[in-house]
Amino acid sequence: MDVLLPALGNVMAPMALLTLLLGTLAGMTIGALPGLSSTMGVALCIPITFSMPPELALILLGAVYVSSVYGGSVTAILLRTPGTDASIATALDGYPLAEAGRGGEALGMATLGSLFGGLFSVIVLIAIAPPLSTVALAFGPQEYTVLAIFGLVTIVGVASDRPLKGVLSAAVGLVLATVGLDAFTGVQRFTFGQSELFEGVPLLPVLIGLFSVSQAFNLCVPAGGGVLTSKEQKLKGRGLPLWHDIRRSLRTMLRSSVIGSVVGILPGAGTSIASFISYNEARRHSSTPERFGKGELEGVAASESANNAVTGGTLIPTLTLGIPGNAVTAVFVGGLTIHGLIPGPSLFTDHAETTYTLILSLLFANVLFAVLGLWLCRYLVVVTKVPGAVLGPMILVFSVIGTYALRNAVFDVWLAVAFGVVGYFMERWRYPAAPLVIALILGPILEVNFRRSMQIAHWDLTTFFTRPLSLTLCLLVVLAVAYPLWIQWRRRKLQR
Amino acid sequence: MTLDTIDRGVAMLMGVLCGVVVVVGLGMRGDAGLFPAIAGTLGLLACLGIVLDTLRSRPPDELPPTLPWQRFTVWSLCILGLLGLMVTVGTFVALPLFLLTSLRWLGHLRWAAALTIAITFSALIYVVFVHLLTVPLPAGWLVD
Repeated sequence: MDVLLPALGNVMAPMALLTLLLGTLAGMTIGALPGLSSTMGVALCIPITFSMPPELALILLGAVYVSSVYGGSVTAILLRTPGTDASIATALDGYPLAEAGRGGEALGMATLGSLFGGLFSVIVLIAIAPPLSTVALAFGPQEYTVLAIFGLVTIVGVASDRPLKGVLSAAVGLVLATVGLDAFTGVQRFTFGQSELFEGVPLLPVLIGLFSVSQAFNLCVPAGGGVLTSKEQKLKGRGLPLWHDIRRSLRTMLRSSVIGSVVGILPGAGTSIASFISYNEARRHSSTPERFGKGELEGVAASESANNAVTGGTLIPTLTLGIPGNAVTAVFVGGLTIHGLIPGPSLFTDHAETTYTLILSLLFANVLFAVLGLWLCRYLVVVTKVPGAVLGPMILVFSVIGTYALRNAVFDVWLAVAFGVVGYFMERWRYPAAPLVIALILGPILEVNFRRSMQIAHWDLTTFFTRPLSLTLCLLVVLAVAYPLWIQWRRRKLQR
Repeated sequence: MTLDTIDRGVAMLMGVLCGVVVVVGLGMRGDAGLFPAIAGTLGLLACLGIVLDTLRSRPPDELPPTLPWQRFTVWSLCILGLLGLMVTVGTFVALPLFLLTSLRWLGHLRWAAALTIAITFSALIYVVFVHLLTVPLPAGWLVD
């Protein structure tokens, strides 16, 4: 409570509320634009936050994150063009509802579901993060080593349908993480004499390159570079679902929010996975499963509650342990570090007020996008009429200037553009970018803690199995490796 | 070109690079090269796995959409021009020029529309970054 009240004061300050409003509007717009992801939205906002106080910066990033996940549902329902992959499951029932003249009801249910899921996940975040950060204070180098391996193993397993491509992507990230002066010996590693690389490959230009510049390529290069969607919106009918329908969907929303929050906590699993699991669960528990896919409000509620519940869940391992579970939280880590905030237990001890400001702002952002969503959703569809070849150059300019603004270095801009090209071809050839980014963040944590552990234990590798916490985490790593292999083996056996 | 062929090419190229990382890592002083060597070995193993995977008999992979090389080249040249002009002529000459050429050639907008968007967006960037965030963007000959 000592920290909550000042944090609440921070969020309620006029400038903070204005930032929250702008962030929510920007996030909703980015989310509604097919092809633009939450990750790109947060990455593009980081340079703007550079000169802001940390509290305002985190409010902006948090608002963009949660509202962009919601924004994707608007175009999924009205145009069957999900703005983000989180809303693919929403389109399954949302669009048939819109076609049946119940688009307003579907949007209302999506908004209520998103609000429910978002608020639920923030409550989970408030309940779990502080005790987990207390446990994390007991972590030594051995635990952090195993935890970093756990983060890498899980992201590699789920990031691509071909795990080997994920492994290669992660390996490249780990190699990039070794660039710079070695913290232990002072040896220059792969710097090629470039002073800009002495402190390592800068994270933010890589993030902006992989997620924003590559997106600008995706928008501009395809032949035609035309309008993102030319479909006509189908927003008709009442603006909110009937109370009867809301009451019927409450249980689904609660179940989906639990699924979303749990999936969010697990590294690697993202919003789309959560929304599909919840959608299937809602259909399995429904008394009218045959209506799913043909225009069932419960289906919309399930998908939207789950994908918004992921947002708070993903921040739990990021804020408490410093282990980002997906690409958006990896970008979030970048946003925290430029403000001198190191993700991990210290966020809840040394920077508790700032951290709680972020958490409370997420609550407010959820309420704000719900209010704005009900009012503005029909206008959001207009942004999808902007041609990709018009949007692309603007995103590129913003990325270039934003990257330069981070350190006033042209080198960073070249780096971002180079990673943009790499990211563009990675996407075309289906190499996931998330493992690369997460390995780039986890690499130094892994290396420093591994070498520290080895110094303490005189190169005795059993040190990782003799401490209870470390041993538990080792078992989790084994589980994270074995489970997907077991699933694959079972699937092959069934196919035979 | 199938995705398998591309994967094989990528794996070979990355395999060579990872091999170089391992060799350089093993030659570093103290244990500084240990982690690069581990990461490089992981990359090598992944490349080997990808190559072996592409050689397995399975239904042919779907082809990636053809890359429109002409548009890709024009767009890349526009970006190179932007970066080059930013530091020489100045950001606020390079930005509208880049936007104008991109919108006109790639977006096929009319001159008037392209010019309006280019100037308006450059002005927005000026207000946000130079005025509000006080970022000293490269001024080039504008200041010299």
